[in-house]
Amino acid sequence: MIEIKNVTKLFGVLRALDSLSFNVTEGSVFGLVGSNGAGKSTLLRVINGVFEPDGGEVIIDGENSFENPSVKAKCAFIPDFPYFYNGSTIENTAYAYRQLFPNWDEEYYKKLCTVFPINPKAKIINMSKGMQRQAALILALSTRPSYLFLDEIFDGLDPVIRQHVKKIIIENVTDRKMTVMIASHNLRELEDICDHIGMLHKGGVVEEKELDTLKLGIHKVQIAFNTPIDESVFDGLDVINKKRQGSLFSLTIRGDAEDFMPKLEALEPAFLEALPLTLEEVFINEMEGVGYDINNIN
Amino acid sequence: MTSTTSTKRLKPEISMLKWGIKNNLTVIIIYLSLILFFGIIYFMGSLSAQTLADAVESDFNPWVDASIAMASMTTFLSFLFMIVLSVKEFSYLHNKRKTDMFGALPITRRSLFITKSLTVFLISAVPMTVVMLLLMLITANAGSPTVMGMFQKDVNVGDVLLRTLVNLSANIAFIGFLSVCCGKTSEKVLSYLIINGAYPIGMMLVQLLPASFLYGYTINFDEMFTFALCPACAGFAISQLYWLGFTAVFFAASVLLVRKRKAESAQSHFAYTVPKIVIKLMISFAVGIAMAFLFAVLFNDTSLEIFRFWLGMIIGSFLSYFVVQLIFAGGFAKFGKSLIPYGIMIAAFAAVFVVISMGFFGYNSYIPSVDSIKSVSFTEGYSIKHNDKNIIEHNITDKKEIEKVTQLHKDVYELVSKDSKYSIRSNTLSSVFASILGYGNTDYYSNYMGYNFDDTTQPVSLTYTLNNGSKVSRKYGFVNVSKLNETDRDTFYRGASPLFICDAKDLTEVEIFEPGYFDDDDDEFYYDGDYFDTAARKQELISTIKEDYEKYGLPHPFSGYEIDLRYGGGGDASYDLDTVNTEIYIPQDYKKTLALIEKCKTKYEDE
Repeated sequence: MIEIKNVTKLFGVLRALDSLSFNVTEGSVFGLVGSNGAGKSTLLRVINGVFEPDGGEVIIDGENSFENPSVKAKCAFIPDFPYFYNGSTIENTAYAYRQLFPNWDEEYYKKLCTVFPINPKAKIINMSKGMQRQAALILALSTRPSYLFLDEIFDGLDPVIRQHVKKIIIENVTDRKMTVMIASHNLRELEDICDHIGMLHKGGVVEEKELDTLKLGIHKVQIAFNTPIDESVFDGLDVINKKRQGSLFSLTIRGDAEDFMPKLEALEPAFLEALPLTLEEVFINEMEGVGYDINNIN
Repeated sequence: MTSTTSTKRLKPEISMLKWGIKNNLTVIIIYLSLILFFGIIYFMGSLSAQTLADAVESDFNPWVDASIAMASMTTFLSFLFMIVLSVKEFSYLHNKRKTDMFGALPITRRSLFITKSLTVFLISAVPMTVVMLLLMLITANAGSPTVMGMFQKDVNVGDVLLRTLVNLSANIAFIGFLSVCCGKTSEKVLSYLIINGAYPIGMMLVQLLPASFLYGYTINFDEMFTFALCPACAGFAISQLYWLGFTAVFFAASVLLVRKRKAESAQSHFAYTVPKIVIKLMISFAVGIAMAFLFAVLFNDTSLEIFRFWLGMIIGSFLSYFVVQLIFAGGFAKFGKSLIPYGIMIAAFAAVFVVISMGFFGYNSYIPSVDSIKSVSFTEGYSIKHNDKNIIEHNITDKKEIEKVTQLHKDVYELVSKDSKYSIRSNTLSSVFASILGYGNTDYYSNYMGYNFDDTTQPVSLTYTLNNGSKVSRKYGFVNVSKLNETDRDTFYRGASPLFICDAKDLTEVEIFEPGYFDDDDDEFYYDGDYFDTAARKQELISTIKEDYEKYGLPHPFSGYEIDLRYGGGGDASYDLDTVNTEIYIPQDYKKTLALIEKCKTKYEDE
């Protein structure tokens, strides 16, 4: 389990992470989303021991992760722009990883080299961005990590490889209870694979829930009336967003549909429909709630 | 899925070491190729040059000399590659992407840093060591080198190897330290260049400052003070022990600091502020003081000299500080705040300058009272070893003689202070020339007597040992002795001239020049034979000159004969620093001496 306890990270006067606290349970796929500069990448680096937190701590399996080789041996981190030595290949990078990571699996490595369309002897530096990410993924997964951290992993991958990557991640989660933490702006992909979502903004947590709970906790409702009505009829409901076109209302309502639908039905609308939001829609609405929307960005 | 783990997993540190060497295979191949290519060229070139020279030395060692030449080239190449490798290997601290990769690996920061340092050392030292060991095999039992080159005569390949290893260690430790402190590779490289260049220049010029204002202060550039923070000189200046300590200190500091280093400083800013400030102040001070002396010395005009000095100081120091701050900060941000340390430096230097220029609390005119003096010497601190004794050691303990010496000192001070006035230019230049000529150098002592009294200038060195055990020392570089009165000149001559203070037994060479010899007349007499080789004849010569001196006083007018006496040394004394010379211009009224010269001339011409 990953325990993030009051983690703060400062870059000069900028508070990149502000007393962040939440847990990531074993075997979950945790999606880390947030506005630009929210601190997603910084958080991943703090968890992996690249950065030392200025306050708080990160505990992985009961041990502090910073400067702890035994914890890091169970972790694999693929940053948004992975580094490879000039002239290095997957094979000669694997040469080092074999010795550094105690759980290195040679058979699995060879298998991954066949399932991804990459030549392990080719120079990585000459590959495209997407292929470099695949190379990084092969190496990371071959270490058989208990914890896998991915920063913008889907960036640069074609749709076919994206599906492939998601499949491999799910296999590892299912077979080995690998815990995954993925930071990405590609909410569509995250929606397919994650079971937990953490939403960050300006270094703090806006929301942190199971994906289903998050999506089910907020709905897009369209309701239309034959006769004009006063908007105060919606008082008593947790309406996050409201748009009106004549007698048609488009509402974003937070809450359980079983709770608010009867109240809306009681208003005798001509039309009533409630749909769950996509993760992207949830994100936008939640961000609007903290003042981060297109009208407020200067 | 089964997991295959290696049963013989190496420690992460060894894995990183192997990986580091593997990643630098291309560099290693180029390095080895260059050592062999240029080294062999140097070797063969040295060998052929010596055989062509047709040397006649009985201890001629062409193979040894060629090996030293190749060893020197190998040293140079290993230094260059060490720099390249250090910059490369420690760059993981200065690149965000590399920081992400290395920071996430299951190895502590300290272990990683130590492994990187070891990688650089092994790659730069091992090929060099192998080549040097081969050269040592070639030159085993072949004797010592005959060429001086950049080394002393008794240097051998083993010595070069040791010095090079010390040099590599010190530089790797230092560059590692700079890497930990800096955020960018460019900062690290610039800092390394600044420290190795600016520090010794600044320290040498600082040592020049007292010489500009204090009479009797002769520069003796202290090697430790000058090169203490110049690891480029490691192994070849100061002592090996110092550099080993230097290596240990900077390596330990790096290992301590790397743990707490903010990884986010990569590609951003200095990880630690203090080294940044020190480096800026170092270059600022060095450029400033160089410009200060340049402005002061450039014009032969004593008016406004202090103003010119400070104008140069401010312009040079500010401009260099500004440029380095601009480079380090990447712009003008916080420039105002960054001027605080600069201001402190200028204020501190100004305080030192005022104290020195005002005579450093009476340094200039201070002469100990006769009663407080236990002994005085013109030769203390100098050593000319011959037959296991210092042949110029001479202490004056008689009170009357001491009084004469203090009077001489007073007159010398009045003379030099009148002659040089108050001039940075003349004092600085004369001190620099005195230092170049070795007047402050304890390995070199020279004294003249009987030169043309119109324009003779000689160094006058005085060291008082006081009753309380402390010493007071003054060294006047260029004193116009002819302007001193006879009593003073007599006091000086009796206390400082080898004729009086050395034993005749230590006389090793006598040369006598007849009048006109230096007028290109080949018929004139010149003696450099063995007539005065026996102890009796040496004693006879010295006693005769002294007798004439006691009878007739300081020599004038000049007879034309010149006797050059050399004490100490042996063999080819012209290259032997362990000798002291005096040239005596025999006056016409030194009858006995002239008679002895005629006697010698007769015997010599008959032989």
